[in-house]
Amino acid sequence: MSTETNNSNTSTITNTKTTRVPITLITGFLGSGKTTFLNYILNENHGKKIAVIQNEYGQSIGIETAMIVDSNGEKVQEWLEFPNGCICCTVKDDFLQSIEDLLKRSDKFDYILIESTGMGDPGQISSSLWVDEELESPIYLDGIITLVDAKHVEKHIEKSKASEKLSMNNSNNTHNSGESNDSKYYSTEVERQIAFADIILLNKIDLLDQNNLEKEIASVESKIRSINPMAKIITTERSKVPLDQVLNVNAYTPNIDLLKDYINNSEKQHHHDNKNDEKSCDQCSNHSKHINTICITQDFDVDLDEFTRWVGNLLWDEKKDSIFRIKGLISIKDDKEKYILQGVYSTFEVLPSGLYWSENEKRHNKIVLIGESLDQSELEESFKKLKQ
Amino acid sequence: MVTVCATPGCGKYAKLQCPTCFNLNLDNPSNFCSQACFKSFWPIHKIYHQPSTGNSDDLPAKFKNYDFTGSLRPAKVTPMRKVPEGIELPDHAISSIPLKEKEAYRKNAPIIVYKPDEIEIMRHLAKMSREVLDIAGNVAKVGMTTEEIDIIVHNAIVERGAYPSPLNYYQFPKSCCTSINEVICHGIPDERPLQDGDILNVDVSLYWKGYHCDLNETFLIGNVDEQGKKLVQTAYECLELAIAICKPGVLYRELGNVIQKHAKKNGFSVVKNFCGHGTGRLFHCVPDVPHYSNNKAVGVMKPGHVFTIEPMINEGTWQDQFWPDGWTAVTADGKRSAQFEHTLLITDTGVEVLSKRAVGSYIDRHF
Repeated sequence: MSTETNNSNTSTITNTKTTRVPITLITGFLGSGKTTFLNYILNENHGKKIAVIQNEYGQSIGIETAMIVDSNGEKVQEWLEFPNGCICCTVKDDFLQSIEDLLKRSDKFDYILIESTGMGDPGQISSSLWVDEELESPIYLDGIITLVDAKHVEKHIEKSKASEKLSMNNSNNTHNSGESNDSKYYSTEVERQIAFADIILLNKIDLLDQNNLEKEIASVESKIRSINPMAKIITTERSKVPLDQVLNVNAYTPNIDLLKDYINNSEKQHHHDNKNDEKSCDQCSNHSKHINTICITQDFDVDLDEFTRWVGNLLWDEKKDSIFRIKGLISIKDDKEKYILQGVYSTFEVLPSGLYWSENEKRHNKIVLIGESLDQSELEESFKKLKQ
Repeated sequence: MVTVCATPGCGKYAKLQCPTCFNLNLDNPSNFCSQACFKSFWPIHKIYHQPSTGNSDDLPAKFKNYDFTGSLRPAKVTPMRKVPEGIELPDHAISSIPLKEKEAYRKNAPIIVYKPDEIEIMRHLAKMSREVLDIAGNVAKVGMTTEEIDIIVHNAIVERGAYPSPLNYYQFPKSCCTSINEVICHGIPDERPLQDGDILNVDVSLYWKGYHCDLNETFLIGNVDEQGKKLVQTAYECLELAIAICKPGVLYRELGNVIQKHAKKNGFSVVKNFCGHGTGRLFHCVPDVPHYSNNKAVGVMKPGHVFTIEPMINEGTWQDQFWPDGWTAVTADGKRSAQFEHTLLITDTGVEVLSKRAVGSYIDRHF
């Protein structure tokens, strides 16, 4: 007896070659302005038909009545229509089921937004939405947006450092303070949300010290970059952002220009970090469990199968659960085409990019990894073993 | 013409013909070696005398207005069978919900590495499972119903002290899956007699001493056309080629590349919405083993992993749909689908086909 392939529930609806509907995942810590962002989308006149799927625990958006009970006593979803064409629903626990319900509706949608608070790890949700191309699903994952509260985010991150220090100092005694454990948990969540993002909305900048605004923004940005140097950062007030800047970004299609942006951002940040590190390593060594970014650059060609196995071993074994994002430009042996590596959490793919190495171009591999306490030389040595 | 006794597993020369078969003037009357054999097989054999169902007037209500993709129609499904007292039951046997499986998926549990003593149990279980499938394969012939095959499989399993894993699994009503022609998988045994030229997949799973084993084969019923034989042969070769690359260090995602390449080379497509799976302590668990290429399946093979590979290969489109019974998965274009399945163990140096045949290698079949 066989099992159904993940996400297969959506594919039964396909068989026509209609345009596929993009999905954007929205994450953000409590108070980051996520609800305001969703309200903004639901009420703004943007000329798009957007569906919003929000989880049950989301508050204050005024859709508590959206969950109704049918004659069998089962909770069913009810979609709320908004005058601008948007619709919205709350779900109990099954995103994919809601998406399927949505696609069964006769009216067409341009876009689906999913809010992911309280639904566990953004990494797991995004890997389940990143459907295999072969399945010809009517949906595709466009990107992950994380909202960040510009005024409080540093405090959240600092808190986690503090509680970590505390737990390191009292390693035999970590359960003595429920409060510090809680704050550690939440703060780590903030960092993970930042680490997984393709786009970060640095929100509530109107609450920063307006006399010192540039400096304050730069400081928060640098903090965010130290966690995720790849993501695009957009500053916002009251979650307002032109939608074309954050939707239809195609973060999960093998697009080499986009990849180059990501890698350049990361390298800049990486060199910057290294300079600091040479002087004082305190920042990283004190917080061994902190999220960091590694950039591997090597100029030998790799075998496609061996490389894929190397990445698999890294994500599922050696660095299991501690690599959040991975992106890379890969030079495959005996292949003129440039390959692109992309990964979220435990899911990754290595695909040809459609672009070729030119004659006078130096073939090379560039891999950027975001994760928890990654070791540059360890990973570099491990990668070098692929050289024959 | 030498005829063989119709009692499963008897194999003796048959000199007596069933009088009811004779009176009904059936095309394929059953013969028996002795009165004893005839008497013992009668409870099952008599079903064979019932007039065939399957015309649209008889369709259950849920099938009315259903636009069938092919020519196969559902027939009467008998009530669920019980297992004798004393047989160890998996959690879904009572509640129909495999709670442990759901729990493992929810917790994102890792791939299980089985210990030597567990593997010993699974080896023995796989041997029994193979015996049961071979019995089903030997009895399947023109005129027999899949209901009869299910009875035989059910009895063979409980005789061995095991539980038929599909029975009541999410309310699946029977003890094995029988998938004919355009049925990709999970066909429900019913009272439709097999017809000359059918291809029939029988999927058998046993639960014994806390472990599951899962295997299936596609059998040729009577005279199957060349294209049908080629389809079945290709499905078999796809499984064979996939098994050949299994060893520690290989990624589960690589299997799909091998399978799809071979299917495509022969002009066939690969079903994408059903996949192989981890098995053992749970009927279905990680790893997911898709059979199509460029999949992003998670997991690397390690010694002690136990899983199935079960490519479903189609004559036409890879797309599927469900019958209104909620189980029977058929090809969207009504063309035929064939499948083979083994339960495999990754060893220190390669792979062991747990559900292999007792005689000969697992690669000795030709159609």
